[in-house]
Amino acid sequence: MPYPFLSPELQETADLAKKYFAKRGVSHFACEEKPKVDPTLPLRPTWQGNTSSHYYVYLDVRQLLRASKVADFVTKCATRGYPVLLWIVLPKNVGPSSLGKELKDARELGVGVARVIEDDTILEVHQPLALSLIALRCLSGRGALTKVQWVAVTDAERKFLAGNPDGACQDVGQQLEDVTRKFAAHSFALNWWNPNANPPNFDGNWGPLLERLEQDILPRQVQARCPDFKKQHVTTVRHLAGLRNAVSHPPKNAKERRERDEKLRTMFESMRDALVDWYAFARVLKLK
Amino acid sequence: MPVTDDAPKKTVGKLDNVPVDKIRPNPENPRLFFRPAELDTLQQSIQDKGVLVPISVYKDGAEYFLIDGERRWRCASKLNLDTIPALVQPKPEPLDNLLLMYNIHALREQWDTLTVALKLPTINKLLAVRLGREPTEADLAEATGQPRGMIRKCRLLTALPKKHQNVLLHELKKPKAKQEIGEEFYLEMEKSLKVITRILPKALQDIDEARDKLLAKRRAGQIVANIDFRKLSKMARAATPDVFAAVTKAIRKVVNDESYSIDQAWEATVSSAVAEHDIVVRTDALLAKLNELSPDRVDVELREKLEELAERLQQLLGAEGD
Repeated sequence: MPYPFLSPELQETADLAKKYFAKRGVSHFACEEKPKVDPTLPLRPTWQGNTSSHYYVYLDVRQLLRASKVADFVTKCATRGYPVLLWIVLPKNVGPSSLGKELKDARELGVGVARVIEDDTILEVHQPLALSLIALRCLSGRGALTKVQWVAVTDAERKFLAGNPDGACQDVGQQLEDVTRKFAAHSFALNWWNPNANPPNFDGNWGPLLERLEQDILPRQVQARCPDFKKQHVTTVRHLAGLRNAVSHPPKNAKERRERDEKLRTMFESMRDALVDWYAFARVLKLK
Repeated sequence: MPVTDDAPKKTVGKLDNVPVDKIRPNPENPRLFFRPAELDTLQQSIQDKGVLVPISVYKDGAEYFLIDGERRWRCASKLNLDTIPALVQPKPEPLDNLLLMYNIHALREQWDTLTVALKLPTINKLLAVRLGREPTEADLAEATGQPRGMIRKCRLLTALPKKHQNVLLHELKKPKAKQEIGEEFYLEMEKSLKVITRILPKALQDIDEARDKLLAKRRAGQIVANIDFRKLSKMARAATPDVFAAVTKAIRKVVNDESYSIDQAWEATVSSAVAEHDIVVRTDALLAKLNELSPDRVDVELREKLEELAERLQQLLGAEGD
């Protein structure tokens, strides 16, 4: 394969990388061309292709890892929400021991690292994160959360960044459902609901239960124990429960992939923020 | 550039921002290899500060061809820059195109000799047309801005059979530290083979076969240093008629016997003769110095040394007398 810019000594590595990723389902390869996702991005990867799930896969063959050199590219992709998986592929003579801090930097940037090993096969040192997901606003501190609650939230964040945003949203959604169900039962038992309200089906569908909670909860009663509580907290959860359907269908093209990842990121952040609020109420009310 | 009547006229370029995608590498650029480590450092600098020194190009139709700055252009392309500052010059004649690049790079970093060498026959041909005669080594050196020694080395490498040039090209693709066979191996071997075939024409029946075998010995570690070949040349030069046959046989054995080293051949043939010759040459020089000396200028330190020398000479000559 004639490479317009790549050094001859790295071309064999580039050939092997293309072959390997083709077997892994990457197709429509282009060599050292402007990035198809956005021609103004500051890097022409050695190879670019697509996956069937509509991610752009960029393979950049380099002699040295030096993740900082692609930081500008990563930042632009992340802030613009481009569904890109960036791999740096290293030649055979680069041992894992020589990577050290560079490997950590690459991982933090969400850049995947692969290298050629002795029998001319490719070893995935670690996988990339979709750059459309990586600009996640992570929680900076534990705040009012208990240790168990904090672990649950950060586990979900890790799952999201490890490339499973659907699973992460599902986890947070489940925790949100559990805590709001408990809150509904507890508050009803304490007569914090409209006195004329019939008891709802606490074990029935979550949607109707949230609807009843929003309709009949008496915020002033709750605020006596949880001063920050507002009816809006219930409204937000109802809205988020509805959003889950918006991302349940797989994307048909790269545009839909980008939109879906954007929604997933926003949804995850909102659900996670709502969960943190509800965990605070649960802690005050000693909900188990 | 050489200052001759036939030299190209001075041209003034125009500074412009040229689209990176419209630039093509110069097909006549002798430089074949751009090592990643070199490009890496430059790329970082361009990423941080931009292209500070304009490249040089000439325009041909809608495209621009590089005269100088291929590494900057490669880095700018990798970083996906839209334009690059360039000095746009008129399209040069083919010979001037080549000579421009040689002269630019003669002032900068060292190219691989083979890459310089491979373009030399073209320069030779075009220069012959311009001069109206076959260019001499001095003509080539002047035109290309390369030292005459470099032209000689280039000629040795261009005379190599294609398969050996390919061996070298393959090696040159690797980083310097990883190269098993370097240009110096071929340069030393070729110089040595030239001397041997001139002085002992019967020593090597098939020179190409000799190259293959010596290359195999180098790869197997039987020839450790490239300069070992100098001993083969010295053996040929030192071969007096009485040792002609022995030296010829030893050189053949070096080529044909996988386990026979150049050092062994050296020790078995001319080692002591060369050492004796060395003493004769040095003694001649010493005698010439002593003849210039008058007894009143011999100080204590010199006297002590001369007495030590006389004592040693007496031992040597006395032993011979016994």
